[in-house]
Parts: sequence; structure tokens; C-alpha cells
Amino acid sequence: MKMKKNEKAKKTRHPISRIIKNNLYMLGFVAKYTPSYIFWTIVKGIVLGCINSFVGVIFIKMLFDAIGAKNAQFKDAASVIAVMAGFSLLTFLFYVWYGNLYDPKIRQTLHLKMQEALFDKARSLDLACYDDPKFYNDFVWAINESDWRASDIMEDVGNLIARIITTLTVIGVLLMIDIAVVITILAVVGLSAAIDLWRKKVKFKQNNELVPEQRKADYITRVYSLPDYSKEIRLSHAGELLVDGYTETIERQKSIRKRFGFITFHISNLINMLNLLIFEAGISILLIYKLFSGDILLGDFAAGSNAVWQLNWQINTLVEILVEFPEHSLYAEKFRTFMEYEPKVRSGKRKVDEIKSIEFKNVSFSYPSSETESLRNIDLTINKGEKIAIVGYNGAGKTTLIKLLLRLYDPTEGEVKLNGENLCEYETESYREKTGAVFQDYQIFAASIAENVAADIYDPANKEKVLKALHLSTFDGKLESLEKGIDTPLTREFSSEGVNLSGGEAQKVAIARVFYRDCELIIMDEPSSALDPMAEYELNQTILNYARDKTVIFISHRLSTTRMADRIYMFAGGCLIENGSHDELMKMKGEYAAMFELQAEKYKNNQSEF
Amino acid sequence: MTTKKDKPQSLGHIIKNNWFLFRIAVRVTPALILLPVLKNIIFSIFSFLTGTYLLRCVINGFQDGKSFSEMIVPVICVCGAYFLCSLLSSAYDAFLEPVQKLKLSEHLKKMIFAKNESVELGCYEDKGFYDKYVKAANNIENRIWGVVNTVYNCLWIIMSFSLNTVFIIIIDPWLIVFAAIPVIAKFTLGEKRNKIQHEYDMKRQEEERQRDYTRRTFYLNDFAKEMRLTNIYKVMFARFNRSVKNIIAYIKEYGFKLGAVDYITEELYEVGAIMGAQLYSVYRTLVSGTMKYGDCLFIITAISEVSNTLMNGAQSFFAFHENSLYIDTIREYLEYEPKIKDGEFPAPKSGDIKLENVCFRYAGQNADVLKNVNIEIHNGEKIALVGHNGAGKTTLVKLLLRLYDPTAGTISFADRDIRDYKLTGEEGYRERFGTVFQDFRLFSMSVADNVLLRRRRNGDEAVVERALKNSGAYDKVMTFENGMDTVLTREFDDKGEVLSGGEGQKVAISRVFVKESSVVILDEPSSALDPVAEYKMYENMMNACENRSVIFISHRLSSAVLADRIYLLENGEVIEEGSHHDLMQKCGKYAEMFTLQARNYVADGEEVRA
Repeated sequence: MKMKKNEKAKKTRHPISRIIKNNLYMLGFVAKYTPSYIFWTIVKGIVLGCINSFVGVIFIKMLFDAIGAKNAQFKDAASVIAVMAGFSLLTFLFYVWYGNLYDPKIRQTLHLKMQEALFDKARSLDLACYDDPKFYNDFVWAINESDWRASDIMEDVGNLIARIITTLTVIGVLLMIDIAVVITILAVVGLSAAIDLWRKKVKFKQNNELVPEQRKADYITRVYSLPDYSKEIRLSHAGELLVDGYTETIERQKSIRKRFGFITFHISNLINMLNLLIFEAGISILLIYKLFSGDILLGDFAAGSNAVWQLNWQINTLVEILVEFPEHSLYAEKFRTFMEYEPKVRSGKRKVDEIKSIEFKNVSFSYPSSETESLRNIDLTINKGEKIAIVGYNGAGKTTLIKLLLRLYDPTEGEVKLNGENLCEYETESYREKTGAVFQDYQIFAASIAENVAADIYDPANKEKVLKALHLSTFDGKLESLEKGIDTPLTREFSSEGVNLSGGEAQKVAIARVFYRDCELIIMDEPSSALDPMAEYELNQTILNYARDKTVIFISHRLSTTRMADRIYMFAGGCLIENGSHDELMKMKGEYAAMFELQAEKYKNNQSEF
Repeated sequence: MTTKKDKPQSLGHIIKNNWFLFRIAVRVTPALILLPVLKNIIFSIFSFLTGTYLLRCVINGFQDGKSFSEMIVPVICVCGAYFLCSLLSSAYDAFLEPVQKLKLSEHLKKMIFAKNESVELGCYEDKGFYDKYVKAANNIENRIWGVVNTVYNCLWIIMSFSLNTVFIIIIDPWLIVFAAIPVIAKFTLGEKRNKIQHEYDMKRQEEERQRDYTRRTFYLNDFAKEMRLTNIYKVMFARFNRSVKNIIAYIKEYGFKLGAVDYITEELYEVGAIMGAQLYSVYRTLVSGTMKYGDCLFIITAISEVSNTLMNGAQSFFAFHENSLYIDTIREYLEYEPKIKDGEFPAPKSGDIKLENVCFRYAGQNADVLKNVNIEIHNGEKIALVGHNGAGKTTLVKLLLRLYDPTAGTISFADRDIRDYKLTGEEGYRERFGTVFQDFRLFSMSVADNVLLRRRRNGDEAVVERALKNSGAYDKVMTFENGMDTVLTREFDDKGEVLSGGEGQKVAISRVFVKESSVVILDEPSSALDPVAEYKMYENMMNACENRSVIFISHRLSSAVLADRIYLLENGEVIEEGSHHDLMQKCGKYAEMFTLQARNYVADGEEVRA
């Protein structure tokens, strides 16, 4: 995954102006949330720059100038050392404070503040964004990494300042010694930067060929180590196929590596030649020559030898830091896209007092990523208090209909009307408050039972309400066995005393949410799929008893569950093909009747046997 | 397997463990591992010569009034030799290392694949065992490089340390005292620091884990609907906030302690050792006049080198120690004797299956999942296992497949205990079964490979085609561009096809049709299929398996009717058995469940609503 990202990062290079703009955009957030972070990072950069240039170069020069002077005094040299000691004591004190206390703390503060903004943004995001894999990946990245990326940018900025300061001071020292040395160094550095660029290009080309193969190898390794696949591996010969695949990809990787062997060999020889023969040997010999011919003093020689090495290192790392910024820019852009995304499902202004009727008028819908329509020209009306069933085969569009109903999406064509007005006119928040839905893939959160039922911050004043909701969803039995009652934490995420509920129990908690909220419209998206027949029957009875005066929409492909509905809507291929009560539909002898007969057949025949 | 992490490890044990992995690497790729040993020795000498020793000679020579040409010859010789050695080294880097690394990786991976396949399913399903051993062992490659690199690092340290020390002692043995100061401090304070760090990491990691959970709820698709439709996000954000605040509190507390220790050790090194030695050398140079300038400069660099290497040496020891802890778990896993052992007899092609008083309990649990189960399945019979969730149906299937062995009682196949049969291979016991689990997996391979799950043979195309037709997946597969050669999933092929739940299930069911096994096991294979597809699938299944035994688990009792005999399980016990007809007449639990499910299909709608 990481490799993949890098590969992408290199493919689309940004122009410099865009790189700067993007990085500044990120830094803008840092400045907004934690302004002191900017200040102290700059200070740190300066301190670090001073440490590097003083300790390695300037002090050495001072010391040896003191030692090598004509009538050298111990006192002079000793005072240089005393200054060095004082410098070290002070700068490192700052460094320790910054590294151990300030930086980790400020990162967390930034994290907290940025996440707060990101969470708000994430919640306002259209559900449709989850269907677009590219956007979704970027979104996950933004929420997971963007604030750390901002801290990384800060760190790089600090280091950049330090490098620039050191480089400039060291060049200054060298200029005092000899200008030829400085010119040679700059020439060599320029040349090796060019070669390095070439090396990176070659490496990039090699990686492009290697990455797909490595992904294959990783996949096979994962299959072998994950519990998910362990049964198949044991019960079939899939292992043979996987090992064959693994051998193949390793062989291919070997041949790619071999192919690139020569060119990498030549490049590294060139770099070695520059570094060892010209840089280290050449400059050393030049300095020695100057020392012996009396052009420079001992202090200059000692400082010069160190400065050459220091400068080489500084410039190399300077380049390394600089190449980070284009990558930062790519990620900053992702963050930016995310932060600047305008949700399409926008809340209206009107409050919802009561849900009297919901009407679909010629509604069509297609998912952004798909070309075919999931729903086509749907017309239907649901009145207050009705019990509605929506039936059909998988992929008929049932769940999509519910998502439109809850305004998780807006229709591509036509409109959904609430009490005769377009649903978009209403405030989303107040509409959703009046509705309660249990999805097939309901979630239990790592929070207490009470919080899970209330689906909100729990106020102990509502205890009775929670208990009643749990009673209605027949969770009482399990509740009695729990020592802490409704304060029991669910899942082990936060506490080792947390309780993991079984599928059926968890479903009851999810259903209790609907009872707790006392909403006017209840939606059950195949809520009984994890239940056995007995429990399914009980659940249906409970919901019907509870919801006598409420609007209920059931979704199911088990027709036995839905026949008691006032009205049944049968969907196929995104179209509403039949509607009416069970009896009416049976009389029609259409698709519904056929589906019902098919499901009933086995039961009927065999029950009449006895 | 006992936990060894808490026990202190003896030196011998640590060496033995590290040697264990090092030896594996040397045996597989001796050149890859041993050449760098040589390289490290040679380059540490060069580093000493160019970094400090030559400088000393030059300055001393200068002070003694030697000529430039006298001094320059050794410098040129050393640089030349250095360059030649770098040529050899880059040849190793370019040609040998990449390919040999792949070879080592391949060997290790295949070793682990084989081990993963050979251990029983229990190792994967027991989360504690899995997390500790399977995950650790699958990380063996990183661990080996950890060991090898620590060895290289140690070599470098030993070389650099001894060279510098020897010359320091030659110049002035007293100077060693200065080098020792920070090392002693490091060792005395080091343990305290590690303890603080460990405590800090533990607390922080736990808090970070919790923080990351809450963050996930904001972006994972699973939670998206609830986060939008309810106020549960407030609960999650409060948790997030609490976690970050706690982390900041830890940073304040521990950052200060760690910073204090770091400051003391660092200043003892900088001021105590380095500047102390400098002062002493300067004193001897200038006041007593017993030290040469070159020696003085040499001391300044060499002292920091010695202190540094000694401190790194301590780190290396900790690294060996840490490696050793992990190697313990890796070794235990590699030496783990699978509990499901191979028998010696070839399994006959077909036979009756008999379970006698079978009991089973998962390791670490205190209740039996199966209690005294007696079941007899004659060759060619169709058997249904029914019962509530958690009744033990899937466990029973796992025992039949010998993924687990019973805790008590025996299972026999063709009148012989199944433990006496060979497990895998052409004559293996498992070869007699074709199984589809509810949580089946598709591999990132072609459709045909996914169905066959073995190497291809001539004429397989027709076999796969027939199987796909039987399961009802054929038409869908033929809409793909490459038909049955289409790769499934987008894991590493962007043109791969992603199947829906129902389609995937059909492909998985096809596996049973290609395998010429005498027993077919279906663990709720129809859960994602709609009623029509389910009906067709069962029809085809019964036709295609006329001579084979079929054992199927289903929630929907309508399909149980097809069975010759039905076993109803409750709480791990068989409570009723017989044909559908028998059981209905018995008017027991089964009849009750069946009537309940059938009720909505046959009884009058009005009655149900009451």
C-alpha cells in the first residue's frame, strides 16, 4: 500500500508554485489551531543550525587557532572550551524540552483540533462519497494522516531552516580559508545531485516493474497468514496454486533486479568516484598542500577538514528534505479536496412537525459510479400509520429506496415529497429525528448499553426510557445477567470488562434504539436475517404491537414476514412492478404470487402430509 | 506454550536464539550474509584511517617539519585502496544482494506457508494463539534482518572501538577515563530510563488504541449510516477528546522524567567526556608540552567515537535481547507439533460416517459445544442439520472434516477411526469431502482456478463449465470478457471482476461440483441467495449428488424437507432425529419450528396479525 502511494506520488509531479501553495495551505491549519507551534519550530531550526555549525566547525577553528598561535596560552584555549561547555548546556536544555515535552504535546493538541474539524466534515459528507473508492481512500487518508502530515511538514520546515543556517555558516568559514575549496565543493555537490536524480529515475523505473509483483507476493503471504482463508487452504489444493504463484512472482522479481543490476552498479561507481576521489581525497590533499606551503594555519586546516565533511552532509540532507515537499503537496491536495468538498445533500430550513405522508414522484436514481439506474420512475405514497412491506430479489433496489427515504441520497430525477413538499426543503436533522431505522448491517458502538440505545450522550434521567426500550426489544433476559445493567460497556475496545454480545443480542440492542427514540417512521431493513424462526416471529409481533399508530416499513425477501403488511410493494430490477395487499397480489397471480408460491411450496406440501 | 516474556533471559539463551535465526540465513544464502561481515571489517578500518588517523599523522608530521611529498604518499594510497574496495562493495550491492535477498525471502516464506498449512485450524481460531504465534512467525523475515543487522552493527562497533582505544591508550591511557564517564552513566541511568519508557509506551499505546477506534467510527463505511442518522457521534467524540487529553497528560508526566535523564546523560557525554578530554589534552599540549597537535586533534574526535560506540554497544545488546523475546515465539511456533496428526491408512473412496458419543470443547472454554452426539450417515444419504444459532452445527462440520478432533468419542469413516487415515493428498481423508462454508473465501485468481482450487489438468474446462452451470453462476461468468479465465477481485488486477455476495456464493458452490468427493457438506450455502436461486441451487445439488452423501445446514426448514434424515441440535445435543415426516408426526421441537415458519405461508393472514 505504501509502495503504491509512493509510486502515485511520483507519477504526478506538481509545479513548484503549486507545491508551495499546497504546503502553505497545510501550514495555514497549523497556524490557525496552534500558532505557537510555528514560532517554536522556527526557533528550533535556528538552534539546531547553530549547534551543527558551532560544534563541528567554528569551535574547532577557535580551539586550534588558540592552540596553534605563536605564544599560545592554556588560559585562552581553556576559555574556548568553557564557552563550548556553556553553549552545549544551554542549547541541549532547549532541545530536550522541545523534543520530549513541547513537540509531542503540541502534536496532540493539533491532532485534537484538526480531528474535530475533520469529524464534522466527515459527518456532513454525502453517503455517496463512500461509493466512490478514490474519494473514499482519500477521505480515509485525510482523517487518518493529515494532521500527522501537517506535523511532518512542520518538522521538515524546522530542519530546512537548520540546514540552511549551517550550510551558510560553514561556507562562510570555508571562504575565509580558501575559495577554491568552496568552488570545488559546490561543483561536486551539483554533479552528485544530478547523478542522484538519475539514480532516482532508474529506481523509479525499477519500482514500477517491481510493485505489481510485490503486491502479488504480499497478497499470497496475507492469504496464508489470515484466519479467513485458513479453512479453504486446509480443505483444498489452493495452497499449490498459491505457492506456484509465489514462485513465479519471485522469479520475475529476480529477473527485474538482474536487469537493473548493471546500471545501478555504474551509477554507484560514479557517485563513489565523486565522493571518494574528488571530494574526500582531492580536497584533503589540497588542504594538506596549503598547510605545508604555509597558506593556511593549523586552526584553518583542522576546521577545514571537518567543514568539508559537514558541508557535504548538510547539502545532501538538505536535498533529501526538499524532495519531501512535493510529496507533502500531493497529500495536502487530498486534504484540501476533502475539506473543500461541498456536500450535495444539503439541509433545508423547514422544521418537521409531523410525518403525515411520504410520496415518491417519478423518482429515478443511479449511483455515481454506475451507469445503470438502480431505481427507475418510482411512484408511491406512504401515509401515516400504514404498515408497508417492500419486497423483491437481491439487487431490486429495496435498500436504495430506503436510503432515498432517509435522505442519505437525493434522487437523480423526480422528487421525494414529505407532507406534499419536497423533502429537500426540510431540515435534515429534524426529519431524521422523527425516523428510526434498523439496518441489516447495524453497528454496536464501543459505549455503554445505555449510550448504544440512546445513540446519544446518556442522561441518567432517561433510565426508565432506556429500560423500556430494551424491554420492548426483549433484551431483558440478557440484561438481568449483567451486573452493571445498562451501564455495562459493550465490546472490549475500551475496557476488559466490556461485553461482546452475540449476533441476536446485538440486534436487539440495535432495535431498542428505534423504540427509545419514539419516532413516527420506523424502517426495518431485513432486521430478522440473523434471527432464528422463533425469535423472528417474536420480533415481528413486538414491532407490530408497539407500532400500532406509527408508520412502519419492512424490507425483506422472506415473504412470510411481510404478508401482514397493509400494502406490499414488489420491486424488480429497480422498477416497482406490483403493489397491493397480500390478498390482492395473490389474486393478480403476478410475480409476487409466483415468488410466494415458490417459497411456500415446500412448507405447504409437507405440512399437509400430517 | 508458556509465556516467557516476563522471565529475564539468560545470556546463553539470548545468544542461542539469535544464532538460531542467523544460522538459517547463513545456510540459505551464505554469500548474502557473510560478505557484509568482511565489508564491515574493512570499511570500519578505512573509516578510522580517513576519519581520524591520517589527520593525526599529517598534523604531527607538519609539527615535526616533514615535507609535503612525504606526507601525501600514504594519503593517496589509502584513498586508492578505499576506492577499490567501494567498487567491490557496489558490485555486491548491485548484483548479489537484490537477487539473494529474494532467494532468502522465498525460502522463509515457503517455510512459513508450509507451517501455516500444517498446524490445525484451532491455532487460527484461537485469537490468543493466533496473535501471539502465527503473527510473530509470519514476521520472521523482518526478524532475521533485525538479527543480521545487529550483528553487523556490533562488528562495526567492536572494530571502531578497538582501533580508537588502542591509539588513545598509546597516546595516553588516562584518557580512557573520560570515555568511560558517559558509558557508566548510560548503564546506570539506562535501566531506569528503559523502565520509564516502557511504562510510558504501555499507557500511551492503550490510549492511542482507544483513540484510533473512535476515529475509525467516523470514517468506516459500516458506521456511516448510524453516525449520520443518530447523535451517537457525540458519544464517540467525547471519548476521542478524553483519550487525547489523557495522552497529553502522559506526555507531560513522562516527557519530563525522560527529558531529565536524557539531559544528564547527554551533558555527561558532551561536557564531561569530550570537553574534559579536550581540556586535558590541551593542558598536555600547551602547558606540559608532552602532546603533539595531531594527537590533540585525534583525541578530540576519537574520544567521542569511543563513547559513542560504547553506548551503541549497549543498544545492540538490548536489540539482541529484544530479538530474543520474539525469536522465542517464532521458535515455539516452528517447533509446534500440530495436534491433528496424520494417520497411516489411505482413506477409501466412500463409506459410511459414524459419530459415537462425540463431545467437543474449544480450548480454553469451560462448556462443551457438543455433547454425546451420535449420528450415522450412510453412503449416499442426504442429511440436514438444523437448529438455532450456536447449537453446534458448524462445529460438528469442523469435526467431520477433522479440522478439530473430538474431546471424547470417535468419528469413523468406512468403519475406521478417521484419526487413522492420512489427512491430505490423493488418498487423504479430507479429499473425500467437498465443502462450502458460510464464510467461504474467493481468491484473487481466475474463476476457473477458484472453482478447481488445484493445478489445472487437461479437460478441466468442461468440468468447470458444468460446475458453473450447476451452481447457476455460468451465465454471469460468461458476461465477463475473458469468461472463466477472468481474474476475480481487484487485488492486483484493475481489470479484475468483483462479484456480489450471491454471485460469489454460486462460484463457491461450484467447487463442490468439480471435486469428485463422496461427501458434500454445505454450511448454509444459500444465505445470500434469493428464494428462486436457492430453490434452483438445491434442485441441481440433489440431481448432481445422486450417489454422494450430502450434509447440509440450513436455517430455512423448507429445504430440510429434501433430506432423508434430519438432526435437530440444541445446545450441542441432538434432540430429535428422523425424516421430515417422522419428525412432524412426533410433534416435537422440529414440528413447532416448522409450523412457525410455515404459518405465514399457509395460515390465514388475519390469524397471524392478532
